[in-house]
Amino acid sequence: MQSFYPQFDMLQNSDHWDEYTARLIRKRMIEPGKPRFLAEQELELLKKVCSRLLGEENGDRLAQVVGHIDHKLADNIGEGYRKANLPEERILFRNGLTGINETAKGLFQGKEFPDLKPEEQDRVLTEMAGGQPPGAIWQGLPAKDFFKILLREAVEIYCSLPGVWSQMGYAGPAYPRGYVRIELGGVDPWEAVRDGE
Amino acid sequence: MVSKQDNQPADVCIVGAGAAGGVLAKKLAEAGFKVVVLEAGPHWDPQNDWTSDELDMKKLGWRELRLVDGKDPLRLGHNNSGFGVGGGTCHFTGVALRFHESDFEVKTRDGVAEDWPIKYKDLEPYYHQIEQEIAVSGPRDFPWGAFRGPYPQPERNPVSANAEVFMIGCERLGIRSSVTPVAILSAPYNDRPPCTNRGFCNQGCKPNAKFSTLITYIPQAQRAGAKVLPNCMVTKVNLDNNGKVSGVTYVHDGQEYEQRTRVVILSAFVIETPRLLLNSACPQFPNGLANTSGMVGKNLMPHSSHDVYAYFDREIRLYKGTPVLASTQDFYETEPGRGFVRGYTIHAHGSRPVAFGRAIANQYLLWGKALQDLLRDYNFYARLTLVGEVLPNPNNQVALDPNLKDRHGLPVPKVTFGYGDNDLKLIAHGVEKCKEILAAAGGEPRYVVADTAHLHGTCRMGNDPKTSVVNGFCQSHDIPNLFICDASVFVTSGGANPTMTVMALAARTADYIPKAMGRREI
Repeated sequence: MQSFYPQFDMLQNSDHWDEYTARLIRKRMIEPGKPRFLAEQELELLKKVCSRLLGEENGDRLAQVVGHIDHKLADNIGEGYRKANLPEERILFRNGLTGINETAKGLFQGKEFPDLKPEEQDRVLTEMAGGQPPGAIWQGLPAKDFFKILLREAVEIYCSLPGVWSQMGYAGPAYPRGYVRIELGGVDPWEAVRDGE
Repeated sequence: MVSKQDNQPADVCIVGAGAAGGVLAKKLAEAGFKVVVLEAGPHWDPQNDWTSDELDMKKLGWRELRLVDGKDPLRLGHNNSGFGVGGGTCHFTGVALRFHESDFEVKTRDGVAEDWPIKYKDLEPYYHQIEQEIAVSGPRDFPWGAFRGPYPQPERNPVSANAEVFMIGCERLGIRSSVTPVAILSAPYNDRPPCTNRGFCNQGCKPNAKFSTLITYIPQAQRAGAKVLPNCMVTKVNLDNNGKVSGVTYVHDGQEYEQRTRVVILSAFVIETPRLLLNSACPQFPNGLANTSGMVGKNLMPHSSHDVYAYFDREIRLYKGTPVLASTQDFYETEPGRGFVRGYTIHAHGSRPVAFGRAIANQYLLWGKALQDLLRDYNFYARLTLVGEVLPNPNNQVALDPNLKDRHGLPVPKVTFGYGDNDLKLIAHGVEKCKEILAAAGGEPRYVVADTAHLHGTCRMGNDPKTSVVNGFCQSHDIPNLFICDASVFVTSGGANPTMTVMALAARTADYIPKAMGRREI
């Protein structure tokens, strides 16, 4: 990501966080290890997909993103809500990932998604977002709904990574300290400031 | 089946420890009743259980499965329902608005929906009581509605940059704006500190500056002798041979228990309350308990809550400060010539990275480089949010899915929703106003994200037992010792955040129950 704040590292504030938040964020940054729900191959495919979806090439970040999604599927703590035309989340992801490869094969002479060039991978994702991609799976699974759920899950964890927070200029957790200068133009000393200001 | 812990029947059993359940528990326990509160979720400890993290704090939302369907399927979970003691008050923005007089007379004034069986005047003393008890902070002169202040605590000062930008835009257009009355302290109160502008209201307030029933009414209820039992999911309301409720069945740790009681109050919110009634169907009530009207589950209303994002050439930093600190209700009342009836509130509403990225990426299908550009510019966006009235429609409803069962073996709720014509015209008007305000402040409106907030209806109150589920005191028409007291009794949604109205209704019901019991009407 380009950033207005290349020098900013929000983790430098972490000494001021409460211990529960600090522990949680530290845990999020650890290499997630072997997948618990997805197969290794599915995880690798998901990583390639997330790389294109998020416009991110950093391997550590991608591992954290797909690790989180895998753990969430493994923990199965409850979806909260689901559109009536969709299968349960675990089946949705498993079949959806299969469908991505089907679409890739259908568009690019039998090649699977990971073997495509980046612009070809983007074409697969564009077809899915459009709702009418080639692939047998999509006859029974709405491709656009899966695309949106995948994007949602990927963005949620991506926007929860300290490295991304720093690039966005988000100063982050602020308990117990709080923010003081909240008015227009106000900046607390521990917040991001654009270079040259 | 036996009662948990002891075998004592209660006077009053309350299902759900949220906004309404907390108020009811405190007031009825202090009135001398034996109160038992059953809550499906945990008893949170803000210090140990909560973090400054959006993703982690999604746990404050209801996690059990619900199916969403219809023309405009709702986004549920953390968006509009709570889980655990405190319920939705643990993650609401703290907005403490009253409804207006017109909200209770929609049919008379506008010829749509139904009138409430009560008037604003009936709730007024209870609004006042709740505002005092939770120490609402707000302006000295509030410009709209029947109540113009002052509030128990002075208004919040300073306000966030996002609120400032909103107020600048309003001023340039001749639109009145005000610091929002919020259930968030501006000065110390009862050992609780004023707000630190940490900005995590929707993730649970760790400093306890924001009111929730978890840190106020619930401990007060416990001190008055109420038993609050967390992790207890009520699965059925039981009926005796005389047509009265005798108690409830609930599950704790996989084990089934029964709580016997003289009075049952359902405060389980707009989906679980009708679901429980429908799941409690029995020979006397084959279509669902207390449902001879057929109205249980009907007329589900969210608020339309579209978000408008504008790009500024200076940093707004949407993460800082209490998320909602400035609002306008200049468009709240019906105005001839607008092409629709009823109206809306606009709030300046902060947003944190996850909610920001997720909402816009999903609405506009932004990914790859477009997503990266959006996130890079996060600090330069301001955001306004609509709270728009949605008219009742019996086709918008909570029903039981015939196929899917939850882990207790109960049918999951199926929630069907689609906007009507008036709703869509109102939204278009509100979104346009948001854009105008942001543009007047120097911003460039870029994104409109369709969303909803809050839920109401599904067990509406009314005078006619044939067309409503409860009377004006939240008492079932069919079963005198069964009460329904939460936002499901709302006849219309209003165009303002509902929590104060929910709590005022609860305080009024808590006043009524002892009197009715004294008269042997229950």
